[in-house]
Amino acid sequence: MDSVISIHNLVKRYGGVLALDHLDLTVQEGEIFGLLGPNGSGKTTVINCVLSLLKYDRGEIEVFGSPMKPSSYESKRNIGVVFQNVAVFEQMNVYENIDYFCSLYVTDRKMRQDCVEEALEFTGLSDCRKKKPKQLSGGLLRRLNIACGIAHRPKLIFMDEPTVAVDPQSRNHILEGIRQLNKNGSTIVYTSHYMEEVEQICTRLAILDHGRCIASGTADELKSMIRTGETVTVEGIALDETALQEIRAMENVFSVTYAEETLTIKYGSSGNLILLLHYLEDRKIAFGRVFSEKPTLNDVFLEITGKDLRD
Amino acid sequence: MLQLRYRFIQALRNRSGIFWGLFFPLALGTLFYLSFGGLGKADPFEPVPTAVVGEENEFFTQMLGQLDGGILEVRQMDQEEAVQALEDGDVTGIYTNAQEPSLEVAGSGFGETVLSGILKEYMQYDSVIRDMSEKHPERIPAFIEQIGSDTRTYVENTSLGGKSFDETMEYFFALIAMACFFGCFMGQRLGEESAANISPLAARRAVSPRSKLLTVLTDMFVGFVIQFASVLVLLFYLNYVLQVHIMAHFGEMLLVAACGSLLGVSAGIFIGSMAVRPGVKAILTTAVPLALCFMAGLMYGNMKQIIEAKAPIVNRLNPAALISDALYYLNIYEDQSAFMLRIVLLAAWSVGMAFLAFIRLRRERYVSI
Repeated sequence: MDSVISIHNLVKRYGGVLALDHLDLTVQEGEIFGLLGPNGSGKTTVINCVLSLLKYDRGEIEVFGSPMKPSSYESKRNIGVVFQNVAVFEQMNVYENIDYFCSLYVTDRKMRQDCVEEALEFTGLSDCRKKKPKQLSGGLLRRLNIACGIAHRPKLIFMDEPTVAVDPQSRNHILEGIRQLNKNGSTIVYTSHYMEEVEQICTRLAILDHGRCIASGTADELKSMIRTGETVTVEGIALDETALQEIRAMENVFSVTYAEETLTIKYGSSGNLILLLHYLEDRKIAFGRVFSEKPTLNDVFLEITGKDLRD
Repeated sequence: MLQLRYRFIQALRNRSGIFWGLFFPLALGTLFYLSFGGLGKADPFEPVPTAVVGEENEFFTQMLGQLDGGILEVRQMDQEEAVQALEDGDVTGIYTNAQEPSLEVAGSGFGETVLSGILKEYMQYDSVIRDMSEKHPERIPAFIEQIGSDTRTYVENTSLGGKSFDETMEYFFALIAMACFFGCFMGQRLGEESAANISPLAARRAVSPRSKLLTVLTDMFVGFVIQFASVLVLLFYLNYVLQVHIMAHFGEMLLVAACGSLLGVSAGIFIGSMAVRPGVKAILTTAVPLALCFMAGLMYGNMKQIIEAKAPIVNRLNPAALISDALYYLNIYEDQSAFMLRIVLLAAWSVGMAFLAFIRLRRERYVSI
């Protein structure tokens, strides 16, 4: 696979604040590449630097094998952007908005008409073509935002938190659409702070924190990098210190926390729930709800940075 | 072309911009017209029809003779005819030509003021004439001719170009300046839609493969054309609907409207592209034009004259005063050299502001978004 985006040693400062700290990233053709990180981690800054909207202090950025500059029109022709904030003209209806933004890329009238119709169909906005943005619900507005960014059939699409403030139905529609765009041949760079979403659709991802890439790979690769193999939580349980010591001494256990009648045990591998339940039964310890979780990207973030991704 | 078409659609559907740039000046113009009772009409000067009864005072008769056919239309009548003519409105006033001449008028107005002024002027010279009749009677005819000449000159100088005596025209000229400056509102929006550090919409346009130069020029062209058209609508409305005659020099008027529109839209684009809080922009686009127009006489007609007396440089620098002055010199004084000075200063403002706006929008990469 060829790399579509290559970022090397990228440094960006906002005054005294280091927003991107010697960042290295590569996005391969055909990927849905996720940029995951808490708010302020530098996700949007990376995208704006790649798009040549932001000046940066140091580093090199290549897109489609060429250095990216504001005048890289050939590269820009193949790039679509779905911004975090809805960016459409209030004065124009749905069709006119898509047609306008598509016309910035596609000059041939017939081809543009096809593109616009395709985008309307793709985003499920065909029935709303005459409506003004003001008349659309939040979810439909987000879809219009997406349609304006992808109508010209770009090879590379940046999606900056496209599901923020979107209802579940529209969110599913958007996520399914992203998969479809990828199937149709587009490489997608997807930023979000919803780790479930990133895990659900991204083929590879990078976790950013304070402008640094702290980990990258597939979701499974990232999870395998950390110590946690399974997390078991037992609610409504009363334990004395002896029982806690015995649990800490169990096989594979590397972390036990107990607070407010809730026991959380982290294991180095999976399949430990039965052993725990047998232990509780033998000791005749009553308990409420029990559940077992495989490691999440939040666990990855937590183990690497010592803080919760949701913070 | 499609880009241009869509930018026109976007700008024309911008209700706020169209309201402030077009409809508000039309409404204010109408309000001015109604408030001033149509005094904005620039009627050409007509001689004042005047009845004269008696011929007792030879010097006064000579003076009236000098003025007849100029500012007066003198009709010799007997007392009864004169009173009837005054009642019928055929004459504006009756001079009783006695040793001490007197004036009878039926109302107040411009004609009555002229007649009263002539009589007062005669009375001021009366003692000189009496003295002269005793010592140098041969000089009296020449002296009276001189008085008549002075009176004509006075009237001609105030009528300047023979168009109007009406100072309310200042309000309409300041209104035209305001209409030009209210292009700020449309310009501000265009500026915001072109500066990627201000709006996501502009960022979306900036990441397209379209040259920024072309994008900026398209936006400025669209703003200018719409604002120019709005000002032209106002000029036609004032001239043909309200009958405020300001279009005698059509080409020059177009030049003023073009420079003013370019200045207004460019200033708006410049403000729109500034990375400041929206409230600050709103103040700049509203308060600055209104302050400039206030100084040009929009709210108080004599303001420009007061500034001219105290600090004339302000009027040379204030673009609203330049527009108002240019229109005044064009329509009232018909003074081409004074008009040219104003239009050159105004053009310098317009081109300078357009250049600044262009430079701001021309930026392709930003330090912060």
